Amino acid sequence: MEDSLEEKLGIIIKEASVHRRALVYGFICISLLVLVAGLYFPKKYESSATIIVNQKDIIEPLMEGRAVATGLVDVAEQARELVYSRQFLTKVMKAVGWLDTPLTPIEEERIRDSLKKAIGVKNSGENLIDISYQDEDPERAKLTVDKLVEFFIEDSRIRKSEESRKAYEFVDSQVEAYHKKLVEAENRLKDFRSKNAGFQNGSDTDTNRRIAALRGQIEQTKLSISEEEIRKGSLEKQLSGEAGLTSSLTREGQYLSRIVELQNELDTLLLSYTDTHPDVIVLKHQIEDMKRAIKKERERNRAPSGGARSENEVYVDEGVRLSPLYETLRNQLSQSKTQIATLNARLRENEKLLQEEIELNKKLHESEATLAELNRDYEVNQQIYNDLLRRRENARVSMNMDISQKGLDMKVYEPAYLPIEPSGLRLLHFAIGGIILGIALPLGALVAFLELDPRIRNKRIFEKEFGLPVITSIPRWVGEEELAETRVENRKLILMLIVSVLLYVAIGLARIKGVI
Amino acid sequence: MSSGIEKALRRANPDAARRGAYAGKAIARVTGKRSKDISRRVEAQQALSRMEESSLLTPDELTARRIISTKTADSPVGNAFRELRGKIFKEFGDEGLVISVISIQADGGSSFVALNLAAAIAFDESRSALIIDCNIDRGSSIKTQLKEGIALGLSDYLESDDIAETDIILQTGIKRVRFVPAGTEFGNPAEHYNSVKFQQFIDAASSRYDNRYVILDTPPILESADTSILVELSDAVVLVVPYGKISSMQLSDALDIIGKEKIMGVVVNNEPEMRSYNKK
Repeated sequence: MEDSLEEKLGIIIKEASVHRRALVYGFICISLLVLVAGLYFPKKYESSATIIVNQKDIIEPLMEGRAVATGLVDVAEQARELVYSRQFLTKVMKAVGWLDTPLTPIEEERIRDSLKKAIGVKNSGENLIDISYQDEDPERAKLTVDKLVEFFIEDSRIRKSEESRKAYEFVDSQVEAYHKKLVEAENRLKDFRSKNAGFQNGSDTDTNRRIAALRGQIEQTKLSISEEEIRKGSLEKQLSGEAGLTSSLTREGQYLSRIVELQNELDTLLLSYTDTHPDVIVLKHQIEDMKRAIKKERERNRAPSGGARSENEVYVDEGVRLSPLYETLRNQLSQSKTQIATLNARLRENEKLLQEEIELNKKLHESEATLAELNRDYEVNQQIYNDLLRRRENARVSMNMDISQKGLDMKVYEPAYLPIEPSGLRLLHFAIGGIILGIALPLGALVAFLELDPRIRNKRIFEKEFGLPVITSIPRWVGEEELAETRVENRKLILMLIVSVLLYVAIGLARIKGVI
Repeated sequence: MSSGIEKALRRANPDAARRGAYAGKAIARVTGKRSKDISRRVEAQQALSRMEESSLLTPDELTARRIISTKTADSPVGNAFRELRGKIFKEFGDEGLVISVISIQADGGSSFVALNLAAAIAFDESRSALIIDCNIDRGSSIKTQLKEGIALGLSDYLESDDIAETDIILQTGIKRVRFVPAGTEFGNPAEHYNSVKFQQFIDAASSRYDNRYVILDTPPILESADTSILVELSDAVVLVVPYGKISSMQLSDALDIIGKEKIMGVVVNNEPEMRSYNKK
């Protein structure tokens, strides 16, 4: 069951009055203790300085577009890293005078540690670094901050120039590397050109034109050959027809045709006459004569020419005159055959040339691709090389600037000051805190005790939780003597409170006057 | 002295005083009952006035013994007891009754409450109170409060037939208040309380006078099993809870033992109050 605030307050007041003595004692003890602690609390003087930094990674603008810069590091983080480094702290310690007296390594380490704790580095703005330091001695606080700032700027500059020097070296090494690459590319190009000198002028269009001409010629030749073939065929046909006509003009032929005529006559006569008919006998004789004449003729023909004549050759009687047309045809045929042979030879030659030309063309294409690649290589290398050369010059300028301490934009924005008032907790704070604590702690303890104590103090619980009405509440019986004692005690307590407050004020005044 | 008592009575029982003043305007029936009541009370008063009272304590002596008197009737403590008394009268009428004053733990203040309740009841001249110390096994603080020495008491009476009732009912130095000590024999209390003799004794004691209030100062509930027997015998129970001493758990344990039926209510004892330092 939750008690209402009013009930709680009533109970707290009641209990406070019961335990008033403990509360007063608690207040006096705690407040005085806190005050004494305040007296002995070491005074801290804090000095600080602000540095404005326009820090940019030097390699970033140099490599802009050429390389990706790593992310910018927090300025204060970098500063902290530097300031808290052992080397840096030792330098500051030496400069401020901590190490004037000979110290053991442990003592030195202890001082370094306390220094580390007392130094604060923080970002107070985008490019502002706040360096602060707390010390019991205001002069030393200021001196330390001065040294911190001085060394910080100095070291930063060294770091910066180191950085730019490294950047220059890096760019320089890149320049060298690209220079080598460029030379290589150049050499490759040169080699290639010298190897493919023949193709230097033989351009693509030239060979193409030649190929086209050759193809035309081949077509032409082929056409001519087919024309010639046709002509030859027709000549041969004509020639064979002409041969039959010439054979009838031979003497033998004449005889034979005479024989045929005579035979026909004889046959006609035999139809009307017998063999004994004179006409028939005459005819028969005539036929016989003819046959003899043929025979004689044949023998005569055979004798001079001997066996030189082939079987296929048509036998031409010397006496028979050769046909002039046939002669002409034969001449023409022979001419035609010669023509065909010539044309065929030309065709082969042309085809060979065409093949060669195509080969040449292919080679030309290949070499052109290689050349383009080599050229491209060369051009890219050259471009980067030129760019790097320019950047190297930039880097050199940056480096020189840093070396002459003109490049880094870092200056003291607000110099260290001599702290007059101690920072942190002062006696006044302790005094006020002591009074508050002196009241709050015992009361808090009482409230906590009441919260935790399960015993019934709120009369409403009887009714609410147990259904028992509260008939009455009997106050504590306080006898005359007790009452008198209580009065005396109350007076005592009030007196003690007054005395303690006076003591408080006295201590405070003494502090202000500088007695304590 | 007597005028002081009258004044205290008027304060303690303002209803009675008003009754006289407004009797004429009241309804006849009520008036009849009241006049009967009054006549009965007058009789009781007459009977009580015959009570033998020797060596009465002065108000200052009573105060020193932490007992309310006419002098302290108006103090916060006195007022509280008069309030308690008034509520008992209101609830149970003018009849006498047996009231158990029970505390939950030892030193719970039941003896203080019992004694002062008796004193408050006895402010009324028509009422008397008898306190019986039922802490047979050790005796209550009433004895010390009254500055009594070792005397024969309840246990002796219950143990022995030779002792008369009148031997154990002692005067207290407070008008109309009698006291029965626990006694010297520390036997088995449960046996005694269950005995017929004890019940007869209580009956006799309560009916000895009209408007007699028998107040049993019982042992603490959580420490004695006998308390529940005494609760059985009584008409009303007043539970004394010392301020800030009893937890809810203890209270509920106690209620488990005695039950809630007869409990009239809780009397919170020893409550710290600022004004108690300033007033007498």
